[in-house]
Amino acid sequence: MLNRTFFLLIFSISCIFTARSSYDMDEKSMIMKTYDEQYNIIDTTSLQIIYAHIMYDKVLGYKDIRYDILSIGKNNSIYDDLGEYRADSVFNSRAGEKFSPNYLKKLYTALDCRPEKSVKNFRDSTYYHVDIMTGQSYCYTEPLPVFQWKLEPDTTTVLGHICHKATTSWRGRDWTAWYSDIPHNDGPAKFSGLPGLILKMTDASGDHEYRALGIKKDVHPIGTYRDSDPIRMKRERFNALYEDHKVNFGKMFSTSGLVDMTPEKKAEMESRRLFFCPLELE
Amino acid sequence: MRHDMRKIIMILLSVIIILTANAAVRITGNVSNSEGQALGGIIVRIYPAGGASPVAFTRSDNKGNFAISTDSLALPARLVLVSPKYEEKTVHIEDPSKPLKVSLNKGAYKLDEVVVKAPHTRVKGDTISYDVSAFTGRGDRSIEDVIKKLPGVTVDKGGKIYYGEKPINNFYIEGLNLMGNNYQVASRNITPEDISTIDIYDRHQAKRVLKGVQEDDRAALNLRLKKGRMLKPLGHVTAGGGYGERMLWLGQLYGMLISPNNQTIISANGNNSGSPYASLSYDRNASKAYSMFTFMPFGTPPISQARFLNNKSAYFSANTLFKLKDETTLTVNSSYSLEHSKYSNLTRTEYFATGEENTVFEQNATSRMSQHGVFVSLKAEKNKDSFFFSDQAWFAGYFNDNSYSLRNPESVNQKLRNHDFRAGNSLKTIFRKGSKVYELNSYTSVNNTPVNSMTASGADGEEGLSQTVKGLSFINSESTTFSWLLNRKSTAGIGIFFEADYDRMHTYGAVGDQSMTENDISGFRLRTVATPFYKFAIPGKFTIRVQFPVNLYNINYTDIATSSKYIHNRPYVDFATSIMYKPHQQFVADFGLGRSYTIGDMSNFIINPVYTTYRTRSTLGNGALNIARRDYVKGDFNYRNLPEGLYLLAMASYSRTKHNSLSVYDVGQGGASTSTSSVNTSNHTESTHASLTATKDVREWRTMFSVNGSGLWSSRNSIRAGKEIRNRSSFYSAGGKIETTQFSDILTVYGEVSWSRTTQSFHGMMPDVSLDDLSFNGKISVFPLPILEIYGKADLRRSQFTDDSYKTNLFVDAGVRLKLRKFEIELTGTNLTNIRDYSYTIYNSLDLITYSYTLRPIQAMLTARYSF
Repeated sequence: MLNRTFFLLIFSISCIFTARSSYDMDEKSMIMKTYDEQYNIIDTTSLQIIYAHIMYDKVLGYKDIRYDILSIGKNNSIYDDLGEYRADSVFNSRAGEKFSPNYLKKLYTALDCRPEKSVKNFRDSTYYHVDIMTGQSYCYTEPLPVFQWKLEPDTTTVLGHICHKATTSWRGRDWTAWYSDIPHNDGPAKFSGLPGLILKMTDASGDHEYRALGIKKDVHPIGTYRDSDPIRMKRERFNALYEDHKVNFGKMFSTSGLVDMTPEKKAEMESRRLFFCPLELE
Repeated sequence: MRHDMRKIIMILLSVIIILTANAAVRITGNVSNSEGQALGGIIVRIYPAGGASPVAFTRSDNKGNFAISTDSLALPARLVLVSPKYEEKTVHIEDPSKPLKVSLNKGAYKLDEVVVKAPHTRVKGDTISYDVSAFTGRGDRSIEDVIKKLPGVTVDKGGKIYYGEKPINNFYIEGLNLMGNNYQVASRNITPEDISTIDIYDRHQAKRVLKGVQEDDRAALNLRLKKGRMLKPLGHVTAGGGYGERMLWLGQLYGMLISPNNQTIISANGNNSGSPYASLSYDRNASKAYSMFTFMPFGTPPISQARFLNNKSAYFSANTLFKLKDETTLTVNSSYSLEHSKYSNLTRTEYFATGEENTVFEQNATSRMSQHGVFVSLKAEKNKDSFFFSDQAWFAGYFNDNSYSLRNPESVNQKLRNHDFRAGNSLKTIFRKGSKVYELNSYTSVNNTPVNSMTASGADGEEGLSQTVKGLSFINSESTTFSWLLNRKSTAGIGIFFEADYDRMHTYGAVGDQSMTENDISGFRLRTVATPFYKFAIPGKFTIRVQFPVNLYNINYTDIATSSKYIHNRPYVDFATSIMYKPHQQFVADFGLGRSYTIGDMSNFIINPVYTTYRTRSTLGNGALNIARRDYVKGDFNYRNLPEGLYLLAMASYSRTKHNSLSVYDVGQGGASTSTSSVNTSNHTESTHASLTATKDVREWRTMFSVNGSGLWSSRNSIRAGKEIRNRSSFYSAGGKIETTQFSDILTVYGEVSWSRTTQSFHGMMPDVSLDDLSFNGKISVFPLPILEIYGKADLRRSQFTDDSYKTNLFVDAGVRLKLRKFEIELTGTNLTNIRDYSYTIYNSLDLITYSYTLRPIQAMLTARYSF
């Protein structure tokens, strides 16, 4: 009797695990969440700037354009991927609705999402950055960069705003910024510290250009993802890991043992790399 | 003395003041709100006298204190304090040493939202994606109208799409090639509302197995449908009626169904309102017999056929593609066309006569053409990374029954009747094993022209002249290529090609019952080619390819009437090298040079004349095989800066061809007859061409500008009236185009102007001549309401006839279009100036020809369309 019960218990447990391992990607097993439920709230934004970030990979020989959004709060600002921002907005507006993993995959593909996110805390003077590489999230925190800006008399117009020129050399690149009279000393990516909002930035080598495309005035909470548990490390280690992930992607994949491939295919895969254009060279 | 001292002191004081005013300054102060509470985080900027940009800045601390230092400051300076929550305040500074106390009032910084439009262009590698909605104007009716606007893309009058100077190699819909070379049926009927993106694949190698091995310098185009447009039938039904000296009618049905595994397009069209469908039909290579007689032998003008052709046309096309397992597709294409057309023209030809007065010949012609055409094709294709297979079989039949009424001033009636049948099969296989690539191609076609006769009779109706040309040709070619990837950058290989042509042609010309001329010749022409090649490539940056084709010709023709044999067995070595250099994404340069031989065929041994019209005789050969050796060098430079909307294309080429055959052209007395033939003698022709095109898209103005210029210089020899003449000609052209949309899409303007000059030089035998041509065409569309379009088109041409004689023609069309959801009603007026005659003059080799065409009259059409 005891053996039968034990056998039935083991059998039931194995059935449960078997059922759970046959994952149905169309099953609506997830629920859309509000901003408060998605984020560890740190601030409320009432002003967002959308930027085009144009990068050039010298090795691959072509340009890529990404679209980002800077959400400015009272003491913090978040620099986020525009696709991720729009996905979060979809979830917030349809909070409570159920959806499937396949729907999530289609939505992320349609919006061209990227998981990278940065937070500038102007009260504590810190900068936080998080990204995902091969399925695992990593982050670092550093003091908010201080730029030695040189103000120049040149002006241009971006999005209808008169912008003034400022230049600086920072972490291996020479940057030119065009800041407006909009009273925020913020800008794209890590850049800040000018007496007006930066609407355009270029680096002297032509590898990077940030250009503001639009201004929004939505009001909603901002923060980092609740469900995320990134591995913390120093900035230099993070950058080295990121470079390895991009440049040696093919080698990593071909030597992982995950996929069986012919020697010719393996040799061809090893030479593949992902698009890589680092912001910092030091 | 005292006066001098005072002067010195004044100068010193001035210097001190100036130096003080521009010396290093430090400005301090405190900022608070209207209640006196300290404000931290306020941005403080300092501007010099007359300056628009700040020279220094700071932020107030949490006690409201601030301090700014700057090396120098022109006074009076301005201090500007800004914050998102407080009103901006400006303080004028005369004395920087005095600390400031500033109070700010509450007030939000006024900032307008700026709507972000979806990016209309995206570049990834060699793929450029264009957002269709960003390029679609209100007046655009088909996706072809949008394709024309894409940078670097041109579409000719027949609907053929070019990227740069080369035609595209594939037209995809959702990644599948349903229509083959007949993609105009799709591009001219698919509406922009159904398409989300147009991708251009630059240097597109369609065969996956050849990626990285063999480049293709042509681009491909792909249409991506909007979500929700797949799996449902899309299309439209159109019906119309009108009047233009007779009743006019129009009918059209277009339907398309696109799904992941099947694509089907059906099209049925008919009209007599001036839109023949000739450009929509398949155009396969015709046999020599079939192409002996042209269907419009008495001239066609360089204007739209809709202006001069009185037509009754019908066209039906059915196409379907199935996507099967394992990257396999099966495609069926079929079409039927019917054309009954008529037009009239007057020709005046001044024939150059060496040492005598030029001969002038005039003729009135009314041409009536009737053609039926059928085409069917079946294609299976498998396109994988390691293997490519394609087999296509086709059948086509063309039936023509044309008649021509002529007066010169004698009345002549000429008729042409022919039946032509073509069938063929094309097989291609390529597979790749490791670093080796193997390719095998086989092509077979049969052309039979069992009926092909031209007859001419006088006013009495009695048949005077008759000419028949019957022919049968059989072509088979096989080819294979072996390539070895020597290393990651180098490929070497050899291509083997074999072609066998069997031709038979029988021509018989008679006047009344009397035989005048006959040819009966048959034989074969074998060509075996071995092409060793080497290619070095740095992927995406630099490629050099060198090849040395060795051609062995074995030619054997027999003249059945005389039992003469023409035999030629000899090898010829060609050479070609091409270099592609792409230092970065925006810039590509191509360079090529080489030598090639062109060897004649059976037509070189057709030594008795053939009547191609009632007054024109042509002797195709002189009994000797034509051998031409062409040496060439060419280069083109391509610059594309998509973010800035700038596109440049520059091309130049030179070629020199040595011939062993010289054309002879003779004119009978009074121009009553002409004859062409050739003699076996050495001569050479030269040709130089240069062109430049620049396009700039000024997005802030919503305007595109384009300018172009070209020059073509050529020289050749010919024989006229027994004398050898060296003729030099040059052709220059320059033009510009502008396209703009203004006032929130309410107004669209398109304008194009072009000028050309043709010059002929006769090496002193007669004065040099030149003819100028100036043309302008434009269109204005106004949308007073989003659903209502009012448009007008103008086409102005100013042609030169003689030194001081010009003719100007102005064509004006207009229309009104009302679009209500799925319905569309359009009223059009064509040729509103009711011009009934179009005249122009051209040089044809040594002769000056003036044409005058009768045009269709003013006409109005009302059409209704329903889209589903």
